[in-house]
Amino acid sequence: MGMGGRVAVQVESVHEALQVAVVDVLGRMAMTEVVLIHRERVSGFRLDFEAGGMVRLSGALNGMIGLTCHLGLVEELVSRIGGLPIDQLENEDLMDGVAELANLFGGWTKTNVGQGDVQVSPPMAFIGKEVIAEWKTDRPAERFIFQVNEHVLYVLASF
Amino acid sequence: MGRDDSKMKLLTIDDSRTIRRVISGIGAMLGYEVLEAEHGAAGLKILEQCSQDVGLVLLDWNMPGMNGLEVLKAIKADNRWQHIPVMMVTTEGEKDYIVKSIQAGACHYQTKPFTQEEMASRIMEAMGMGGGT
Repeated sequence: MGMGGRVAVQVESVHEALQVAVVDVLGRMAMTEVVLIHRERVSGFRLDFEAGGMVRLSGALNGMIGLTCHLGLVEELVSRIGGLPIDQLENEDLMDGVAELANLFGGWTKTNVGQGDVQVSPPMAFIGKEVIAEWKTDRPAERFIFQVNEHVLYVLASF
Repeated sequence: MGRDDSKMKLLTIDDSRTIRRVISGIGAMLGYEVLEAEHGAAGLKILEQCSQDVGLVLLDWNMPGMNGLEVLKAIKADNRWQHIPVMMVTTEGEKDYIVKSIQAGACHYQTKPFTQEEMASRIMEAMGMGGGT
């Protein structure tokens, strides 16, 4: 197998680890069933719904993992994780919740891949109806679409 | 006189308020008051003020400023606090991290993500109340 084949295998193993991480994190922390309904190659790493978060991985793995979804899903997940009613959540709770989800997705993917020395950056997050965040990258991005109760969660990976 | 574990408090040191809130909720469910610190320096300050009340420290690894391992070493290097059990609570699941933290004096290691039941069981175990699986 040539170098390109090895890289492709490694990227696919990261994608598989990420899918496991999303199901594990939401299942264990939010007690929510998550189902992958579609995955697709996309042209950019764009977080374009009302909430988004991302982390960078560096070292033995180099890339980005992010999530984006409507605010309703963030409210539901943060409420379930933190045990607070949705009407008591403040914007800071939602922001921190999205950031922590990005951190957990990235951290658990790293652990699942088991590729040695990998650093996960501190997470970034945003909440806002008019916000679109995009990172230019020369690597392809893969978008995983999960069904979470009646909501949709988009998880992106670029490696 | 031995310590009364029923009156001891938990101290969670984590930069995520979501995780602090989760741990506070689990601690409250078990009957413990939970003190919260959003970074290592704040956690050590709480220990300076009331270490005699703290029965368990739950410590994140990746935080701004001091990381969890540095905080753990600071706790174990101070003879006022070194008897307090420390549980690492982190996304870092590799063997190397676990070994480093156990060598530095952590008594338990809990990876995130965790279920409420897993964390409750770990806390009870660390507080000497059984509950281990």
